[in-house]
Amino acid sequence: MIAEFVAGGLARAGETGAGIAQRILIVTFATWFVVTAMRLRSNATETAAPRA
Amino acid sequence: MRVSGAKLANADRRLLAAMDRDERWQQVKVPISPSLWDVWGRYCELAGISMGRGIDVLIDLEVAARSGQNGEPSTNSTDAGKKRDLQAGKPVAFLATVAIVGTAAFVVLIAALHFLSPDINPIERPTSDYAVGPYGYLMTAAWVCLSLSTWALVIGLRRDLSRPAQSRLGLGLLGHRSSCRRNLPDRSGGGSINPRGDHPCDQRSAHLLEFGRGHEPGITRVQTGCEVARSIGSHRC
Repeated sequence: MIAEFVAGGLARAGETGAGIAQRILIVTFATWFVVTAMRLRSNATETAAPRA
Repeated sequence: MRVSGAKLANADRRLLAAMDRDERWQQVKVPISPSLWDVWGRYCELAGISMGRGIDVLIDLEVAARSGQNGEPSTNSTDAGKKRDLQAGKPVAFLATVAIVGTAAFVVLIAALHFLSPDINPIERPTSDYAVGPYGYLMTAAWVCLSLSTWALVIGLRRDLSRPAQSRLGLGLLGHRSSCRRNLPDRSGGGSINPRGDHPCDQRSAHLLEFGRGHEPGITRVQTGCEVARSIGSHRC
């Protein structure tokens, strides 16, 4: 949603590169999503399985 | 007024009985040498419990002894703790897996659309433009994947993080983001497409629509849909 807002704002301002800016934001947010989810998963797995 | 030790122990027992049902994860720093920590790890491994659960058992024993209980370690309570661990960890792990798979699917679908619809300039056009055209359903699927993964992440974080570590505003915004039905192509045909009803176009299938919100970005997307449809020669407003 943030990426769409940024891209929409850039497009309205007549800036070229709104699409690439949106794609960079999408990749950034997707990376954050995956990293957060992986940390959540490892934490949950550690919780579920006894740790030595 | 003097309070006897027995009364204090009784009050502690009642307090523990009330609070023990609300188990949450706590973080502590344990001042301990690495070798002793390794030994503790092996003990816990032999006992079949996590190191944190072992410390939990020790705290239980100490508090129970101080508050006048019998002080005997209960194997049932340890088993119940392991069971609670399993019950708490499995859904969160599943939700995290859904979040990872959903996000990966979203990225893969977006990347694939760049090759499937090469007529859209990726430098200038937003990804929502891919919702127009023969592969629009892939863009819709990508948004559904992203929405599912976002909800899974919100619920997982809500369940896993301790209450003080949670940001209600952050999770709320993340949930709101996943609830927004953005830029879905309208293929029903006929009528006005603009949420405000002021768009003159009657070829709805060629447009993108911002459902429900009716704010400015939605209008931008509607206009963008027209422009894209015009550029590929399938639409006239």
